[in-house]
Amino acid sequence: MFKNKRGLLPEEIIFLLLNLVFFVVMLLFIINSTNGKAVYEQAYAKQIALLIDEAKPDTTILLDMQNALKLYGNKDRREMVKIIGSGVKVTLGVSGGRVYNFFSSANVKAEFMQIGEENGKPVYSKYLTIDVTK
Amino acid sequence: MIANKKGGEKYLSIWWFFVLIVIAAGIVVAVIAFNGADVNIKELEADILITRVVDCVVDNGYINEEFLKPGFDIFQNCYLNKELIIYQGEGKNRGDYYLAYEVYELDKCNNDDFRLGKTTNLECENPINPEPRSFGVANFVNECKLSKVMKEAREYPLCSERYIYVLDKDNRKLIFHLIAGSNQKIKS
Repeated sequence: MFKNKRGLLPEEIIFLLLNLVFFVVMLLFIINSTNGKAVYEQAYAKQIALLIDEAKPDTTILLDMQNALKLYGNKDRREMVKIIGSGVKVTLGVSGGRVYNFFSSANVKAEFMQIGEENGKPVYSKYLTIDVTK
Repeated sequence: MIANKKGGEKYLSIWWFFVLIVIAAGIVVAVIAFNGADVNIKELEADILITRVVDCVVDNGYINEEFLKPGFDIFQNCYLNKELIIYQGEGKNRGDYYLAYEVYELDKCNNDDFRLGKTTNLECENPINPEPRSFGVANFVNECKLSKVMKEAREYPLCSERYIYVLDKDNRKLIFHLIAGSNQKIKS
């Protein structure tokens, strides 16, 4: 189809390469976008905010974050869930994270507990510990 | 269209790039729509706000006497963020919450409704708790009614409403009516 007497025409090679590049870029975009990071960011931010709203002062909540941790990888876990003012910010790697406010005025602390050490590096629990205090 | 063209012109035409752009745009729009889909928890949030107030001022079916006196600070006593809840704002910066509560004597309500087990839209008059009885964006009450009937009204708030039968220290029968609404959206 693309051959003349000399074989493939350079324009046709460029055409094939451009198509290939286009579809590879699109495929990578889809794979990267459908891993659920954005959805999990939103779901966890809202879930944590609701848990804080519902908790009476002097309550400790443990939240299983295994699904989020799989997407987050080995980055610093202290950056994954942050309490900023009266909002919960969850960052799994999509454009700076998502924030959802809670209406509780109690003091809130959310962190992953260190449960040990491996090769000099801290090992953290898969549970997020949320402390709601007066 | 490409019949009389030779070599690369046949393939690298403007139309082919147009087709690629249309495909790319379609994929991007679909992915953004999927990722941007909102998990709506407004009604749940409003329900939790009501539960927080009830848990705070009602104990074993008895209403806190201080709550019925002027000067009771619901925000301080119930650990609620006052600035966030009372904020009204305007336009895009409009507040996210609404909270209102009234306490009535049972005989000031339509008793027949209550005896028949009706727990919504009770008709009562002359609330006995002091003002202010509502905080936040008052317009949420009407907008919540609209969002109940118009499922496509995603930008509208959702509310939760409850009527609770309580007693005061003199065993007076009271109706505690609460409405809360939320229109909070996730922020990036």
